[in-house]
Amino acid sequence: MSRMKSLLAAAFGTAMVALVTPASAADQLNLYNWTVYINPEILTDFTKETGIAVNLDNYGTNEEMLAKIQAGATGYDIVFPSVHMQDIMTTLNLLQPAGIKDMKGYENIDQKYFLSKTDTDHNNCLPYNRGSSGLMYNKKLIGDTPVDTWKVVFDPPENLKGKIAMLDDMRELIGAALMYNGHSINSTDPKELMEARDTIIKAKPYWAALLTDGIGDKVVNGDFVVAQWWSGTVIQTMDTKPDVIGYAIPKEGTNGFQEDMCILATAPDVDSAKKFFEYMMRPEVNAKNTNWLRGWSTNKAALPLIDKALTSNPSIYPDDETFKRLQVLSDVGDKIKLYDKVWTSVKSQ
Amino acid sequence: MTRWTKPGQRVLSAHAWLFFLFLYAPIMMLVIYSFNANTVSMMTWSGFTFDWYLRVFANLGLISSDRAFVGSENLQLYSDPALGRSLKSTLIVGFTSATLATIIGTLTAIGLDRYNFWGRKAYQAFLLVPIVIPDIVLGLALLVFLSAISFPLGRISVILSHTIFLSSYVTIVIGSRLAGMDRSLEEASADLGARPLTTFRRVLLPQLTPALVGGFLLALVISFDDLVIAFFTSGVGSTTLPVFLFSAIKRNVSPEINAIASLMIFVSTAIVALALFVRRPKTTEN
Repeated sequence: MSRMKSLLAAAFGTAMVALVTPASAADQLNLYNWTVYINPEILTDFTKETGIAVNLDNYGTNEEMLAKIQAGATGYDIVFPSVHMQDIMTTLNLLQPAGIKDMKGYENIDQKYFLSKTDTDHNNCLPYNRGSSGLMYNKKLIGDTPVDTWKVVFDPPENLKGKIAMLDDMRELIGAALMYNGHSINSTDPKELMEARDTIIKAKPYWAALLTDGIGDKVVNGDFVVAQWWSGTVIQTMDTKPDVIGYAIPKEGTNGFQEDMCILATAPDVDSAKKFFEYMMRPEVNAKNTNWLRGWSTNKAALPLIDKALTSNPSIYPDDETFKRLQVLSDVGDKIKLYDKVWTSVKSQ
Repeated sequence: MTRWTKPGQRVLSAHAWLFFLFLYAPIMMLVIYSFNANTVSMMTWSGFTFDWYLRVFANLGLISSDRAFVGSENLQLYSDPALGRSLKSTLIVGFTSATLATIIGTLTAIGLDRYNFWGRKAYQAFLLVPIVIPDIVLGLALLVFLSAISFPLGRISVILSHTIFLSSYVTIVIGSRLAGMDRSLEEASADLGARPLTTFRRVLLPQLTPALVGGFLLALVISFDDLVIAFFTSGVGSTTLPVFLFSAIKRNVSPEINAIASLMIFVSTAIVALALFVRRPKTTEN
């Protein structure tokens, strides 16, 4: 009996080892990125050029990614955190410097996009892509109401009531109310946050919905006339209906977000990762990716190669004046509890 | 047997029809709209097309993707090979873990039902734990455990994790069938000189078949549906469809998803039909 047992155990052990031992692969680069956030073609091009196989997995929020990496998930080489998440990850020692400054192509990157507080010498992460959360609107139905202000959603005229959609996202919605009232998107002042709560509760009866997806269709159809949404998805909708869809950045300011490309501390293949960084800094590669992303490139050498429909739109590629009005979400630490409180009372109204 | 009055019967059948309508109308809508040629709004009908299905097949590598599909001008939305990859991953994980869970669950249920051993009650209680604790706790616990023993995250870790909690479901399904079964058949088989293995194969297993099929399908569906545990335990190259779709929330989702959902409905209906066909009553009853 006990011999049988040890035989079984041995067989099981062998089977597990066979299952677990990874096939000894050639160079392989493992990316962990947001869903639909990199052009698959530039990845196949990279493999063709270098012989390094690329594998891509996806996450949906910074927090999910952090939870997974922090709990010990390994195997990934490169992640794409938002700027504030890069700071958190650097503080937690989850990243390693990529040495961007000494890489070929560093000169192509516009210096104003190195926003990280923990990376002042531009050595850790590469600014990857930008966007903003502004107001998408139906040009045919908006009439002559000005849309370049949060007033249009927080204090709408009669004909827009019930035709507004806002983002079902705590920081985005509370942030919009804070900026409408003239405060910082990262405010931790309880008085300002309570004021933001009251602003939202007062405006909520005028809104048709709080959503994060399926907004584009409904603005095209006219179910909504104005909606707070992320610029990348707005432009996708705009591409298909350029005569109907417009996009505006509120003059009070809005969230200008940015994702950076970073190497994980546990990266199995740092050499391939660095090759990928240099590849991504090439103007033609960046332009190909940006055109696909319908994004906002951080690579100034790539700008002439990017689709004119994008670069000529001042809401998508803002001038310096507008750029200053964009605020960057940052980690508010423990004060997030204040936000949670506001959010709960807003949602339960 | 209760007798129903005429109006009572009508109300009852109206209720049944309404119930089926409520259950199946949204699914029918989904199938219909998977043939919609509209690339902007999934819900506005603008013409008939098979292209979403062809795209799914092209993304799965079953057909070549040379020709231009509906919506080719919107490159980003409709050319993501990750969609096909994640579907493949979901199918592999679902079928493998449901099969493993059915084997483990069946043997566990038989052991618990037929034998008395020390700690049986406690074992039965612990079996319920994976069902009652929240997915997020189980997912995180599994991830922490897997990284503590430096088990590489990938498709195998998702399959093993799914097998763990699906086994509990299967054990319960099989266990309830076993509890209601007549044990004298097995005793008769043993009396007539059949060895335990023969009894298991010829007497016990045929009686268990409906529960086996039911348990397997339940496990399959739960695995297809699982987001949280798959998210935490998946690693390099093993993103499943629910994980992909959930993380796609900040983006427009391609109407391909209607086609994928319709195909999944078709496949599961085919599986159920096959199961019913296999279990159909034999004409020569003896």
